[in-house]
Amino acid sequence: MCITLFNYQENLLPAMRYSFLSVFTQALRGHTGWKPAWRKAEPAPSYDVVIIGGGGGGLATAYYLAKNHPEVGRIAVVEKGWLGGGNIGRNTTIIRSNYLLPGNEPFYEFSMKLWEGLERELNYNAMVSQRGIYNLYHSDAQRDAFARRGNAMLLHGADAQLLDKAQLRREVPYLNYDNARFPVQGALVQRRAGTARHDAVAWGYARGADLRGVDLIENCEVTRIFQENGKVTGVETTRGTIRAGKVAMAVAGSSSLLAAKAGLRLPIESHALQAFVTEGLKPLIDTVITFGAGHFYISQSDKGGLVFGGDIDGYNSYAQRGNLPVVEDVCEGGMALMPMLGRTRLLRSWGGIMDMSMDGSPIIDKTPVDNLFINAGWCYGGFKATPASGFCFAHLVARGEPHPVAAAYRLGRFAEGRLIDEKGVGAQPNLH
Amino acid sequence: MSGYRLSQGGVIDRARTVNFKFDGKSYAGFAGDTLASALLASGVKLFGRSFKYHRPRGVFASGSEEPNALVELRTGAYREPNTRATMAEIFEGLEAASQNRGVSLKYDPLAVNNWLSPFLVAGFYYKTFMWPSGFWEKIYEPMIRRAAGLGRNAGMPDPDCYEKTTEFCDVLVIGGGADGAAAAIAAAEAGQRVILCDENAPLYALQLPESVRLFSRTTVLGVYDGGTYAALERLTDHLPSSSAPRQRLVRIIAKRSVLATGALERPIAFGHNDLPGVMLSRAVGDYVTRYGVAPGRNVLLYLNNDDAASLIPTLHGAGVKLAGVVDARPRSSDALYDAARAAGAPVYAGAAIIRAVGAMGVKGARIRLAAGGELSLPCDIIAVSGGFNPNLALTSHFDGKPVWDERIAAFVPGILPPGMEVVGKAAGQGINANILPVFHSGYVPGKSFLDLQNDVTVKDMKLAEREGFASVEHMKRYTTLGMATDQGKTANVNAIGVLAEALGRGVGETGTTRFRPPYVPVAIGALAGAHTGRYFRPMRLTPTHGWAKELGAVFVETGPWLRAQYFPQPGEDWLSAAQREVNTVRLAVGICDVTTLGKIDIQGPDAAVFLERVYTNSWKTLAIGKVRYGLMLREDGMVMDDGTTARLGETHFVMTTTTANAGRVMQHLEFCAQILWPELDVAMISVTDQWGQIAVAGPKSTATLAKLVDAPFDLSDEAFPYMACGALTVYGGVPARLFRISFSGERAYELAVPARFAHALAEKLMEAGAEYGIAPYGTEALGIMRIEKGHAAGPELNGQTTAHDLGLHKLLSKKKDFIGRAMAARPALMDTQRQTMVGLKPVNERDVIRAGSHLLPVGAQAKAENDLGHVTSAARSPTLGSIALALLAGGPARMGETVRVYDPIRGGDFEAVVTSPVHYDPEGKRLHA
Amino acid sequence: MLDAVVPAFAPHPFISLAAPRRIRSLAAYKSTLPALEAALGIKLPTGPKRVGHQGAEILWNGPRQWLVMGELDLPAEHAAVTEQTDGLCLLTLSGPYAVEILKKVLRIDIARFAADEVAITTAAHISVRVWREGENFILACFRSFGEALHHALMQASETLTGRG
Repeated sequence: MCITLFNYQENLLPAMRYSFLSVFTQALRGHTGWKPAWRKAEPAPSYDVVIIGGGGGGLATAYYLAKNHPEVGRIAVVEKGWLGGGNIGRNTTIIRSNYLLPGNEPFYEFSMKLWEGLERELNYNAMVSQRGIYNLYHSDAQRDAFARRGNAMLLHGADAQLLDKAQLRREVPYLNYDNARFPVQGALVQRRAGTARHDAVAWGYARGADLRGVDLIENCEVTRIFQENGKVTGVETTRGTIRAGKVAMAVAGSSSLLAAKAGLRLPIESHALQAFVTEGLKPLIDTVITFGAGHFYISQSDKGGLVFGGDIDGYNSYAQRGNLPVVEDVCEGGMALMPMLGRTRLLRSWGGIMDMSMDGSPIIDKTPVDNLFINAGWCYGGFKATPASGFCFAHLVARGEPHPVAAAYRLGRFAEGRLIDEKGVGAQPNLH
Repeated sequence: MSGYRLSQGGVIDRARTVNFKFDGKSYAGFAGDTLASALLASGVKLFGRSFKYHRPRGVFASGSEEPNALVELRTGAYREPNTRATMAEIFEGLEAASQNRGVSLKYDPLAVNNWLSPFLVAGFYYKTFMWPSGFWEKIYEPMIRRAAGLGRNAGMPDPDCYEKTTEFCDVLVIGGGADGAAAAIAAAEAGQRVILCDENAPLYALQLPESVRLFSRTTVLGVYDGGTYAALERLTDHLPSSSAPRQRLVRIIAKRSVLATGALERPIAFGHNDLPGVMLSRAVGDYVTRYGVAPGRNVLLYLNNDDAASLIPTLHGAGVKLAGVVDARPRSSDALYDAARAAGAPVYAGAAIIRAVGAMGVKGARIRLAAGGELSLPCDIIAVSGGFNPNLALTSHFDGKPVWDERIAAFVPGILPPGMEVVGKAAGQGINANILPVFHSGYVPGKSFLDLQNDVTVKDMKLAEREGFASVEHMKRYTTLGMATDQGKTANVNAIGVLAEALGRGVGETGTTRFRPPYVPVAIGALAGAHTGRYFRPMRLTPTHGWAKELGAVFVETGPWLRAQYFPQPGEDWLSAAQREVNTVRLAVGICDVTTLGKIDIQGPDAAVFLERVYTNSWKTLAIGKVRYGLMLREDGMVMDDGTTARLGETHFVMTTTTANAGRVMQHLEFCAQILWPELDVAMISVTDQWGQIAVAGPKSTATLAKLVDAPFDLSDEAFPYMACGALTVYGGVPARLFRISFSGERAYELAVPARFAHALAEKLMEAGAEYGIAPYGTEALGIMRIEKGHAAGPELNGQTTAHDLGLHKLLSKKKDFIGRAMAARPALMDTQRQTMVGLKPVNERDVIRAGSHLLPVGAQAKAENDLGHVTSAARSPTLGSIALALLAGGPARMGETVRVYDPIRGGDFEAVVTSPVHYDPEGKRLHA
Repeated sequence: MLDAVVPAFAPHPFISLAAPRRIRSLAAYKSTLPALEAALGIKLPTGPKRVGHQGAEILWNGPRQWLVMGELDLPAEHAAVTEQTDGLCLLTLSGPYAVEILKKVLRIDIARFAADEVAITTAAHISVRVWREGENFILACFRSFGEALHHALMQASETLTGRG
């Protein structure tokens, strides 16, 4: 009986379907029947589309290209290290669609809806947990700014709520309400926001792309980008030359270095961002909270560690690590907001490279080189955009036209003054 | 069969008994014991339950690398989860509890997980919990979250305080063992400033010269740029209670460092190697020699190197029975054979322990012999040694990858951070003599644990490899090996060895994952230090703060400042107080401290030229003794700030900024002067704190001021009209500056005196204006009045608006260049349909407009594509009712139109009329009233 | 004349308000620096140093900028002279624990701080200038931060070990 059921499952898809039943039956076989989550592909001499970057952006793009635009032909992802080893491999896992500006909110809400269907889409438990996000406010002006944002969210069809102090205190009692330097007055809440398991997102997209015939090529660094008559023709890599009809760049913090190989200078600066996790604790914080009077935000992972972070270090860096002043600054913010954190121990810190743009918003666009496309400028907010970023970039690469929800993310917007500057700090990347 | 206290030996103080409790039961130990050593001495074997499978666990190690014996230390708000029993020094009255178990440690219902373990393998949760689709969040995730984590946060504010400090030195020596002490002494004798940090309590007195500064109980956590090291000093964790700071973060800036952190032992994995009683061999030796404790009565030693053989004479000398020696190598050394013979213990060379036998603790071991065949040996402790790993985490914080040294089968430091050298065992010297690299006893039945804390087994490595997670970073993330509170200190190398074997690769080729700070987990409180609660950030107080407090002002945070928000009289709330203050100003006179607005003194032959370039409007023509409104753009053409600048002399100006932007503007001006135009002869300095500045506003302002102004200063409208300024003295010789400017729209002045006089000045102004009914007013009233007058402020100067948007485009001079001019002309910024500033008044008097509402055309659907803008500022004027300022698409062309004020998030939805932003006295007649 | 209000702090063995003195900012213009130095009769420090001159103290305060403490004739035709007496709050750290206390709020090498050095740095998130007067140390911050700086020093002095 079990065997029959198992075979039935097998026939649904060419490869192993994940489910409770598959875990159960594999357990009975000592788990010897699992297949690799994705093939270790060897690079072919040419592809129709080469995606540079095997992180969240690249893998999601590969998946949606293969699924939504199979007419593009053969697709490869080339990744210089191990798949999902960049910012997708270490981030604070927050997903939300609580942006203010018309250029941003439809995109992030589109992404939110993709998150909500992701497990079914990928047959992979990305552990999407819509536990809500609370953006705390500490003054009347901040309250009104959040009301503006919440109303914008509602106008765009997302969900938003504004809580006053009494309501907030009932829902989140452990904040410092009585002895604070900047007393909490309330919060903007998005209930549908939350977290997702970042590694699962990378692996889920990788597996899905691989199942649809995309070659995922690891340990393959692009060393040159070839052009002829203003059109891209292929790449040179550490695993050989690969000809390509189209090349799509999705390498986040390394974007400037990669684009330079095509003779392009991007309006992006690379900065160091640190993030932190504590030792595992029994459930303590069941939502996502951002401090409104300092750089600090926090949530609790399903493994029990508190995952938190703050501001970028402030200087340009590719080192993937930060320095002590920010560590202290973030912990000061944490203690100011939740004095119960004092005896909780920081377990590990890590750092990544943030591609900071001139208005804090991303770029998903063609480049001056024909058939060379760029997806970059995510600053420190790329994780939540992963599904929409891949979906829209795939659309652009396949059709040559931007997807409507990402239409504002053009490279030329800076020259035109069509900025998408949520914070209003101007053309200084380290302020966004 | 369990542990006991040896009758002699150890460096504990047998003269001082210490009483403590574990899981509610009372025990006694000696001063110098850790919780682990004292409990072992009392015969306790069971210390906790493992994370996933809830298997019984005992003490494994003797130092900070302990993976199993994690307890909740102390109670109530002092409760600290995940504390290593091996590092907790006992004190009188200590209370500790085991973690992650149901009702009790012995009878843990979640041990059922162990039976479910075939299903709970690495990564199982990615493959399931997806159906039915609503169940993940409502059922599965909460279950997983409750089972996750180990200890419980107390849920109460941490009652301890912490502090931080900074130390400088020439040489930082990390590790107070023989190698570290030697390095410290050598450096001190060479005349260097030396700091020595040692993780442990000062049990052994180190013979150090006085010039070496010894930090005991201090763990170096991380290496950072610029020779910066973070260290944590445990000040009072070993005391029952103290009002002193609990811990201290020590930032050490060292020209160079010497890493003398020794080596940490790794085990060999075998079946059921997580049973209480399986311990690292050196830990067993430590308990005997350091604490005078025999962890058990019958010890079986399993090793693959000569170093671990030193346990044989240690046990023999302490009278502890040695059940035998299982040597993975085909032949042991002569010294080992001799020592074993002397101890009366058999040696099984070329053998392996296949599994430990027992239910709640080790009762015996099953051994595979060299010739084939198996043997069961009774024992209650299995001391295991797979070799030693140089303790090199700190060498790798700058991503210098450790290198596999085949000779000693260990990773040694690779490229070091600048200024660091490594000595002794940490460099791989003097360890792993004659080692045979063995990481596990083979794929035996039952679980062979690699990562004890996260319950990751040898078979999980195979599973990871099978599913394609072959790189060491993938393996780590997929299996969670090395991600627990011990960061895999006793697990990583064995896991890499097993993975390498499964992949058919070399260990060196497989490599390690990245090491990151902190080396051991560190309390968040220690990283915050004193900057908690009210002292998170410093507070700035105005010079009239005391005076306002005396008058019962309610204060509000404005950036770092505390400002008087309103001055309530009995029975008033904020609105009635603010409205009364507004009426007083408009009908009589009021005073308000405006010191917080930035004041920048600008002087020099090129001062006017400088202002011409930073402001959009003209300055060369401003006469001495006059004030002008100035608009400042960012380089990208957006409005940065506005303010008034007064010309006090040919080459002397005083610029004001908004409170919020004072710092930013100062930074901008310095950037312009130092970097953009270094050729200009101009200098600037902040005088915000130098001058206490008080606004005196209302029809009776002149009359009030006249009583304070010293002759011969002429306060008449002819001599001192609107927008005049000048230096004078008041009240019998106090130097002052007077500016006739008005934020309120009334006849008004701002009077500045050196800050020390501001408090007294406020009192005198109140006296002088008493006959007119003078009242103090705060930021609420200030806000109402400036909205009545349509002055742009913070919510309009939000960094997203242009001069055109704010109706200030007439201030953009066409005759000169200025910062932001070119970028402000970008096409999208010149679009006439941009959201520009207007005023709003509700159609129905009873509606109240709120800032943050959006604007839609009347009758249009409430969707984003119909969004016309938003309300930036709103006020409830005592004379005009509800008024607002807003940014509305194509604003100026819509005067008189009706729009929908849409505020769904607070439940508002009504209509308003578009008006001029200047709601009150549009012709400005009140300025001269 | 109006009453002056000066910050009042409770008596403390090591931490007190510094002796009052006149303070002015002196900022040279690029082209007038030589004339200024000639008029004053001194080569002004070009880095973070303090010099005594004719009974006054001159502290470097930035590129071509100094704080002058005391009554000294300053030629306003060659430089920008601005009153700062009321703009700054000066606190004195004295006694055997001064260095230990300062290590808790400063991230400079205060143990090796030379007699003629000036530091422009932060203490407890407050911008300060630091210099020595004899055996003592002076910390100067914006007047509005005075209470906050004083509190930070008081807190730092609560637990003293005597470790140098």
